[in-house]
Amino acid sequence: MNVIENTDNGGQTAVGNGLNIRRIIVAVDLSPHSEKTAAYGAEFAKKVGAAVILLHVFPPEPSTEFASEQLYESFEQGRRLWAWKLIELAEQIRQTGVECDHDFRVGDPAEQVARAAKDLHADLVIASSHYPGFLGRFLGMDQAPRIVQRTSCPVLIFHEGGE
Amino acid sequence: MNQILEKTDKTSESFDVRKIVVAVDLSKHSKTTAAYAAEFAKSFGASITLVHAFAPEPITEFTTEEVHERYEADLRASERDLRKFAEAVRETYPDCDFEFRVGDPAEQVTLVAKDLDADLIITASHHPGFLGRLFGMDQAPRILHRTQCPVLVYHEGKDSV
Repeated sequence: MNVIENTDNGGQTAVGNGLNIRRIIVAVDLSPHSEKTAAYGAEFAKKVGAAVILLHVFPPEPSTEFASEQLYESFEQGRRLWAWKLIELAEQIRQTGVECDHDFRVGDPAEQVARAAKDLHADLVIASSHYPGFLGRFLGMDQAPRIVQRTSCPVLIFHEGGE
Repeated sequence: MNQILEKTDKTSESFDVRKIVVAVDLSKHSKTTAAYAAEFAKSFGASITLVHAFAPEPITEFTTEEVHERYEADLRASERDLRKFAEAVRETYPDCDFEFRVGDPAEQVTLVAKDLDADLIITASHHPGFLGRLFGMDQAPRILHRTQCPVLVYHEGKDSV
């Protein structure tokens, strides 16, 4: 059994890393902990010479029969605020010398991360986990396992607060 | 003030992947996982430790000597397989060790990671169906919930490598 057989990808190995990791999606929820995840993603990308795509998924607009114009406006305001925060965080990553783009999506976080990984041909997804309790896990509040289950490329889960 | 710059400066000092724990179930897919892990380790100049956990012996009042002997034989065979597996990996990546444990796979993998002060755990996911997830057959989410160490989940059967 020769393990190297499995790593031979037709001579397409990138300079700097044999894994050919060129594009990394760093999924952030833009909570105060996200800076740690973004910093980890940036350092990782720097080590392997990859570019970062900073991704945030905003929850969809709650559409109920009681949704008023005011509610819609507040949703739009929130969406614009988080989009701006994402742009700002991406800019901060660029200042560290790492090539960084951003992608803002609306929908289910795990589904959108998986879709983005596919659309953008990501070689790796870096996401974080918040250590929810049993109830949090039961109610699906930690997105990490859901991202792992839905994404077809390798996923690196970084434990925020674990460092 | 750039929080990321500040944090990456701090991370740069500590960001080093030196020890990688690789969880293998010794199925046919493990070869691909180990190959990915070896490439990963090579990129960072890290060592890899292959970990396989063998299920503990089911002790019931009906356990006979014969059942016990068969269990012991299976356990020894599994340990031999892991040793052979590690030797094969060493042919391409010499900085490879192995650790054979008896117990719950997720618990044992996280214990080894803690004992070795690992910087990363690499494990595979088989994308089980709903029932498989319900019965905890996929170890990746169980490992995620038990460790503080970053976990890289490699999807076996996918064309990631």
